[in-house]
Amino acid sequence: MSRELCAAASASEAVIMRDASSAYLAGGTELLRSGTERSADRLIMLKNIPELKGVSGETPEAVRIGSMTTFQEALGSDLVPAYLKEALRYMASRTKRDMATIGGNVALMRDDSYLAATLIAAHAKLELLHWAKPDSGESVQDRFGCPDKNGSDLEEASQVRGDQPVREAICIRRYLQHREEYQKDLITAIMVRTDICVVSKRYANTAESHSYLTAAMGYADGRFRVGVSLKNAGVFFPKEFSDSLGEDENAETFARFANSWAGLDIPDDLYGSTAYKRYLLGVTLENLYRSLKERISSGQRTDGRKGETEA
Amino acid sequence: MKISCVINHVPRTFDVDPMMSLRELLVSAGHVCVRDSDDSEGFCGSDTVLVDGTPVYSNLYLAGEADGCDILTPDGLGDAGHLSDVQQAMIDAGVVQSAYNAPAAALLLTWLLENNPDPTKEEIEDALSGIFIRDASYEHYFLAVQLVRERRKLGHYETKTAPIFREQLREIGTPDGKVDGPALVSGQRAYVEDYVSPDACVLVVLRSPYASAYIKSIDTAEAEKVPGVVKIITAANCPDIYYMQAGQGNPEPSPHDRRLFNWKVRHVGDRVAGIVAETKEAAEQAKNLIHVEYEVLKPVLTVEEAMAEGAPAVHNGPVEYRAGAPADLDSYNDQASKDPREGKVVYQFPLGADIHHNIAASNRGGIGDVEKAFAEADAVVERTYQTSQIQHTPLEPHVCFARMEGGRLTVYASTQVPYHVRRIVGWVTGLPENRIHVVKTRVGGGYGSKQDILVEDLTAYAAYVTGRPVYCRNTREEEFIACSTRHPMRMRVKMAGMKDGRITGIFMEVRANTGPYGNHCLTVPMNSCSKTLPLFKCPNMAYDLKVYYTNTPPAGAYQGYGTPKGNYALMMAMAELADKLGCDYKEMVLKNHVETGYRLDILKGLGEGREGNVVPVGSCGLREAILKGCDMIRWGVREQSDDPDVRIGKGFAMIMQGSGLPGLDHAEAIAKMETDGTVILNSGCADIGTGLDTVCAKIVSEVMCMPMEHVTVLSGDTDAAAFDTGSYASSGTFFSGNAALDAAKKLKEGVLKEAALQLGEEETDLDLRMPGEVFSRKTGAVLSYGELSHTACSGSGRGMVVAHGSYVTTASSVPYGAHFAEVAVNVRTGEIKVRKFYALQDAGTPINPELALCQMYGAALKSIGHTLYEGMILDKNGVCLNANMTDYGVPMVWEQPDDFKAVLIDVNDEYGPFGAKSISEIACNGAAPAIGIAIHDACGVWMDSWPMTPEKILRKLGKI
Repeated sequence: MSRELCAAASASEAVIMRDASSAYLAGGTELLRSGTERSADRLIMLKNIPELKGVSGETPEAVRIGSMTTFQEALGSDLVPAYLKEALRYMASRTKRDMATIGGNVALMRDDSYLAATLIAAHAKLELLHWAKPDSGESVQDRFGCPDKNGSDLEEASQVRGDQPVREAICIRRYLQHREEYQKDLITAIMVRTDICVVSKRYANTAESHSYLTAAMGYADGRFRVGVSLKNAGVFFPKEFSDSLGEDENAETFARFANSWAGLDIPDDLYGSTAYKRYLLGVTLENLYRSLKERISSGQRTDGRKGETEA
Repeated sequence: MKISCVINHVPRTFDVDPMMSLRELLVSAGHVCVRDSDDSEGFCGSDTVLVDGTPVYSNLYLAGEADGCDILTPDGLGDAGHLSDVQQAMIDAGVVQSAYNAPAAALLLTWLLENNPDPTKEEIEDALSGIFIRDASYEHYFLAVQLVRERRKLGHYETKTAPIFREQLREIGTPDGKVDGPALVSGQRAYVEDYVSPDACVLVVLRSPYASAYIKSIDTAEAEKVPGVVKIITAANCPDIYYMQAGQGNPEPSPHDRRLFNWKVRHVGDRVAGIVAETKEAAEQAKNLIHVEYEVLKPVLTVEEAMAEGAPAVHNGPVEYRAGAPADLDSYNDQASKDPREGKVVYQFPLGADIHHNIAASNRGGIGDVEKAFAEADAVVERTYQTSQIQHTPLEPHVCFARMEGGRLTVYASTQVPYHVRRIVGWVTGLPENRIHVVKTRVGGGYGSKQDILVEDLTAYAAYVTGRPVYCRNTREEEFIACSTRHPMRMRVKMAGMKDGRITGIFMEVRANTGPYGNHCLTVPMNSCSKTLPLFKCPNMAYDLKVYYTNTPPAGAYQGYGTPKGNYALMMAMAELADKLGCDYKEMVLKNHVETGYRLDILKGLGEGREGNVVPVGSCGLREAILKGCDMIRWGVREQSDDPDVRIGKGFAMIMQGSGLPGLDHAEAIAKMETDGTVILNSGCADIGTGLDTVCAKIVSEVMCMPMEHVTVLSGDTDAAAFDTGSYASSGTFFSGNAALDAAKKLKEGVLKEAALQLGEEETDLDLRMPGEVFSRKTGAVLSYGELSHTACSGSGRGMVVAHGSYVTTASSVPYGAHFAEVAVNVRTGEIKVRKFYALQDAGTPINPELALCQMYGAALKSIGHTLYEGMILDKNGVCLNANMTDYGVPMVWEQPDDFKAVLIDVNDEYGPFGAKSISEIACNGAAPAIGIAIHDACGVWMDSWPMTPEKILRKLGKI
């Protein structure tokens, strides 16, 4: 149970304050809800950090979404591509969309994540802020001698020490594969391409239930990319399978993959049997592939600015 | 931390722990309408407020985050005692029913319309997507928005809120709002939690982690030392009183098979200890310090396991009977376990039980010769159906506040059955009824779960034995594992038919799971037969039912009360029989359903332990519902989808229910004319949000020719009113309404008699008329009620005019109807979407038409839920794996059918007050078979179990 709340005025302050006993408080829909697996002695509030908000067009082909942008704010932006809006709408509750942040959802990388599969298929990038030095597990107290310093004092102290937070941009797939390494990093933004075609599908008992399978497939630069999140199994980027996809696959390709995907341990659980989920994964990937191919052959691509299509 | 914010336009400063939730802060500041329905799960939305113009779940928002914010709570809508137009529109649309989160819904609609004055249906849906409406569904919220738009643009409503019935009457049959609507929608104090005194202790319960175990020892010494702990109650120190928790008339058709605490726990979540402490923190700390040693036993979790040879017995102690003991009782008890921890089971009368084989109750009956019918039939269908364990999920969990005052025990209860609560509390405390006062507050959702006395027994006992006020509120998890559910049932139906479409024989074998205690163990499964078989004109019908004890979470009463399950099985079998015979299903239904005047011989065989009363079918709108519904859904027209993977199908089911329990239910009301001529009706009824107080007020207003605002109904207070069995079995309008009608008629007689004396005229020359006066047809003299009553209560007066009304009957007023579904099935993924759902029902004269429609919508959506999504899932140890709202899966706005209609068929009833019949339970009975038949029409598979999931569809299609 969290016991202390402190507010960061900048991303650097937030990173400086973060130690093993603290956690970033974004929208609160995960950290503060009952049944959460997350806990911390101290919460670092991010809502007052302006640099974490906002959506901007970085280049004509890419959009930068501040990590504290809520799902609903992203939906309301003309810059956010339609494929990402499709995934944002998977969060069925409008009230929750007004609270939950994109950065928070990505950081959790839950196996029922609304966004993970789509962002993987879209080859999204994350902008991170972290300490330059290797993580020694030291607490804020260890670093600065006193945990009670406020954010700006800590920032000043870190400048004196020569410890400055460092920005880094990584592919979301790397974040997925090395989660432990990035645990204390602050996601400051998500970068998504607008020149990419991505389709996705989510399955859940009801719109408000946890999803048990979300799959997405993207196509860009002549390559397919597949992202999958499976409840009680994990979030996956099947690279080999993605790389193997060509222009003329059939149902058997996807069924075979779904049934034989090594390393994918899908349990029988309250969402359904292993056999059902494997079957569904195969059918879904096939459906996504066909949908992508239709768009590609008709020359369509998603347009991040208005979700329009162009021939 | 000092937090400064603006709440409802007023600057406020607080010095609080910044880690407390915003909701806690707001409630502590007096905004009680910011409710909690899900223990901070972020699901139900009862805790919704606006922060800086944006809706948030205040349970998931810290007080520390609110510093500098502008907050609007639901009680900030409207001004100075006047409702806002949104709040008024919600009342007028009929959506303010149990209303636990109606204030939050009003806030969301207000916010929507401020930002978007002309929202589309999709935009309204999106605004409501974060709030769970269980009682009225979402359909009339679209109407509420439309009403607001019209009021704002035109100054009045153009859209009708509901059809009007009986235009010759002034109030009856006219949509007129709910008498408690304004208080509920504006978030005034109304529920149990609003009456808890600051000095109240908290009661929490330690619960069993095992499905079946003896308690070998329980050590509370360490727990009792926790500062603030007042008392710990266990099997060691609770009264040795066996009782049952079902709210039913005395003598109850449910076994008395439990004490407050037992030495044998019989389900995961069963009570082990009750901890009363001055704070919740102390109670929780003490709970964790109670040391319990269990002897774990093998549980039985299904009917099949319970009936297996050598199965462990859930109850294995001796049996007693108050009446009707079998001759071999002594030898039967010789087989009982000698372990005193087994306890005993006491029957008020025989229920056909055999606890050594886990049979809690049994019954059989029928008419004609079903075997002969099967032998001679052109086709026979025999299939087995299985239904799941469904939870009510009321927005307000089970909650109770009790205190001793002046030697009397006052119990504030969210209950459907105040008088049954009083009786059962009397049993466990040993107090006589004159020293127990039950106050039924507003009920934030019952649906049958509050017909059972699940927290009031222990809370009241705790208050009595400690002398301290005690408050108990279930967590959401406890709602799942320690309250009550539908009885899961396995039903084997055998149905015979002829080529001409006649059904010639029906046999139902019902095997029901009552869980560890026998609440409603006979009556719910009986309803699966007694409220379904009488739909058929079939001379050969029989049933055989057995109800088994298991170690699953307890079953009990739930809206529909067994009928949804039996109807599912029978109608599915009929559809399959039609298919087998090559008949059109609609023609088969039309050929075989009952109509007015048909003699229901089957009722003889449907009595519970005695021969039933055979009566003819009374008012019946069944045929009209079927024909109209078929027309609406374009029965026989094949719809096509643009998606090659999607098939569209249609189905429907006829339905019936009852209006109370003839020969068992009892209702009373006392009407008194106050000194100014207004009337207070003390009704024993229990309005659980359905509008029963409004029904009674309208009845009095109509009979007495006085405005509604001059009539006040006080209900469910055992001190103030006379006895009423309570709100269950769809008895409210029919029984309590008729009692109110009787009281009103007698009040009228009393007023005329008094007026005759005061005016010196003959009674026969006098009449009543609006706005509440007596007038003489002979002389033209007029005497207002106020003048009459003032004189009657004077020093020389004959006394206040008071009338006592009551109602009992052996007559049966049966509502009928038909529900229709159109579904889209994706045959590659198994996904199912209900595109259309039409609910057509006769309710006799709908006294509150707009409320009636919303009850139909609410019940239909609930039953779409139990058909497609809902079901508690237990692991092999009896632990519920989905004991929270998100994992359990309830239908919300996105699960509503795109085209959702409720239609009231106009049929007047001979016995109901002003011709009214019941409306709400019956609406739970149609969705499962309608959807199941539609799925078959779409893709050729017969769905034989709930919920009908995509995986099941795919398996039946042979895809996996």
